[in-house]
Amino acid sequence: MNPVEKQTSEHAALLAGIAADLARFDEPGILLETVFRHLRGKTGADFRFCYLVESGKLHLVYAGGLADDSRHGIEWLGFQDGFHGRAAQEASRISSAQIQNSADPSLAFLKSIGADSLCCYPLRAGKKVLGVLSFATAKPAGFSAAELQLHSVLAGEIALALDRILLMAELARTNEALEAARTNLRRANADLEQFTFSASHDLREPLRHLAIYSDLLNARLPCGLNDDCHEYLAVIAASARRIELLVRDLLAYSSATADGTGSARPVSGNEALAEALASLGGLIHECNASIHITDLPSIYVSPPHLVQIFAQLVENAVKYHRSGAAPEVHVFARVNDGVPVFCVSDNGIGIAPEYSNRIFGLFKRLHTSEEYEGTGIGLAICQKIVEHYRGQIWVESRAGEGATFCFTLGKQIDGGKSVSASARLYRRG
Amino acid sequence: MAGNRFRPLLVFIAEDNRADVYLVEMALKEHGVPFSLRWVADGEQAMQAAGEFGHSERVPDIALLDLNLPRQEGDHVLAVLRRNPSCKELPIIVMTSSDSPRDRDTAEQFGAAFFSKPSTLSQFLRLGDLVKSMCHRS
Repeated sequence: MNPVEKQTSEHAALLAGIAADLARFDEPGILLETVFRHLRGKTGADFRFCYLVESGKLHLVYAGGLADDSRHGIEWLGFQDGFHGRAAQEASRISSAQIQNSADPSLAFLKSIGADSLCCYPLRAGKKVLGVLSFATAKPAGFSAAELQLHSVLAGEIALALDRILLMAELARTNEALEAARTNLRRANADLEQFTFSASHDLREPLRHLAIYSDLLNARLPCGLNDDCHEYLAVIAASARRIELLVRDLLAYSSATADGTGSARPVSGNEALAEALASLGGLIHECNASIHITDLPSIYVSPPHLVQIFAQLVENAVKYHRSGAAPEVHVFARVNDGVPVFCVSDNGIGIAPEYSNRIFGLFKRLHTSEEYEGTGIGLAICQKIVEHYRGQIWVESRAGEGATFCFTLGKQIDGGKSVSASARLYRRG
Repeated sequence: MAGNRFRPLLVFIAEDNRADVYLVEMALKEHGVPFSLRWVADGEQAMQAAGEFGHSERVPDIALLDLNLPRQEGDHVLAVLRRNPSCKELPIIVMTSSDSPRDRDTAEQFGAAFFSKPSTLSQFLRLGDLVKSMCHRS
């Protein structure tokens, strides 16, 4: 074996000996301590230092061969400070010899501990410099070529290990921050829900009394005494009832997705629609509406959410009909890339395109409550539910030409079974 | 034991809002029900009374209970009432200004009727009907 081969195989044996240490520890100081203990003087360095970049400076995380109390004054270095700083700044190896004869003030510490030669290696991870690893010896002859070779190999291996440690620490910090943010968010949400419930509940009580007692006064007021008084009381009662309705709907909006997606399960679109239609009670019959139903796919959703959207869209489709034209409502679905698009289409009054976004806003209405009853909460609730599932809801319509509301909630789950074309007609009475 | 034609109906009411107590009285009068009212305005008094029925207090013919009471929750009052052997069959109407399914479930769980306080006079007066029908049934 020639000297180069011998040296290479020795290095390989040394590195194999410390490989486990490099992978095992997650604290830089302990890792370096253990690695150098295992190398037992093979580096030829009486003193070993490791600095890591921290908040724009170099921080000493390991000092080998030094008494603990003599670290004082060298724990933090700037990038301008001496050989270590330069090695980090220039990302290259910097060495110095004959320190004992040098007057360089940045070498004063090494001089004081008896070191004569110094070799600083940048610890590189990709383009980033993580810190500096340095070796110093008191021998006037300095390091041998073999030792220098070993230092360079060690700097590479240690840089990799420290990079892993730093990334893990960063990951742990990020996770912790995320966890804290999540806890805060959960608490804020719970508080908000509690607040909304109490506010709505407690607000409704006095409003109810305002309305009822206005009715009562109106009933007891002598007839013909002053007709205006009856009218005024009726306005007070109607206003109180209107606020009560708004508060009730606000509560419905705030709690629409309160149960999260925790109760999500495979739900048949057909069953959800049937339940929605049943919940509309006599409305369909009263308006003499026909509901045409095509077979609907199944999706993964919390059942009341899908029912609520269908109920709202069908109710709107029936409610906003043209006078003199019986409502004709079609409920169907198409599947785009595995995602069902549910559609509710009608022959009603339609919506001018400039309003097609506005109608999904909270309490946004296009009509007075005299023209069409309502508070403007229904579509806002639909939008909130849809967003909860990262789906979409939109309307395709022109004024006077009916409207088609479409929404997505997630992927189809009945194994890609195609939607059959068989249609049914629903009339309730 | 329910109100016979000689004795007015003894109505126990746990309700913190006087405005609703008046309305209850009005509903009973409107339906021609002779009654005397035993009114408590908070949950603590209600609990106390519920425990005393059949002992130091006469068992009422019907109990009207607001679920949102000061000092003690209405469902605690319900539990005490139902644990009292004299009140096992007592007709109870749970009244709330919410229409939350949770309150409905509570009522059902204790075998009580549910009355969501409405915001029109005529609807509120229907409470009288409900009281009458429940007292005849028992």
